[in-house]
Amino acid sequence: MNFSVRHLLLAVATASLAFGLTIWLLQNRPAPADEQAWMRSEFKLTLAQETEIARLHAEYQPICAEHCAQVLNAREKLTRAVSAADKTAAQADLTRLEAVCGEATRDHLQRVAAVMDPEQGERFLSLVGPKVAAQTHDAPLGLK
Amino acid sequence: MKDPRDPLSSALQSWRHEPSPAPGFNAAVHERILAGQGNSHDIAPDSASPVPRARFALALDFRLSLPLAACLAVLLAGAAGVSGAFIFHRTQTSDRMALAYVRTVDPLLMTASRAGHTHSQP
Repeated sequence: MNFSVRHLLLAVATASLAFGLTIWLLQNRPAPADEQAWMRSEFKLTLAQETEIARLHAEYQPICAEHCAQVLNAREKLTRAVSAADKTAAQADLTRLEAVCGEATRDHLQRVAAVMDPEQGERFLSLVGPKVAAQTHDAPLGLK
Repeated sequence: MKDPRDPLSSALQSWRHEPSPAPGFNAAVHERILAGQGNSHDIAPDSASPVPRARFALALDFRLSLPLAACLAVLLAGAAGVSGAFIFHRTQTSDRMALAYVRTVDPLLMTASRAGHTHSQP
């Protein structure tokens, strides 16, 4: 094995070892305390931005709770439906509710993104947008 | 007529010439070649300053250049491995935390897990 091939293999082995060792060490680091702490550091929020996002979050929670209750009721209704007509109606209800919930969630995320700096807001939406359960693929989430 | 007792023929056959190796021979030849190329392009050779290309050729002849380059390559490979690990870890963490955040605002994800979700107040 000539000189250059030997050293190329050594370089590849070194890179792999460094990668693996660093990953192992980083996994022992404590994770962010909560989602708000993560958002503050990840998107470089100022105190004013953080306060505004917390306010939006608090404002949205009653709407979210209401939607949760409606979705659970609709699923329960679908489970209990006996006739085909009842099942169709229950499924239509659930589908409509899922669309409403998805729309409300996306709207909330866009309002949160609008509080951030534009570049951070776009990055936030690109990260959280695909995670929304009722995400449609017609158009990705973006700053309005 | 050839005399069979003539030792000249056998002496010539057994004669070998092995010149001793001259240090810097290769470098000197390179220098002369490059100086000649400089002359053929009507560039007046400056005897006070060395030809830059000849110095480069000398540098290649430097015995430690390959081991040094190899060490540098290994160091750079290690740095690349560490950087790649940091980027990969950060991407994974961001992805995980983004999902955790969306679970606090998406009713469909909350109800899908059927966990005892709480609507947290900041």
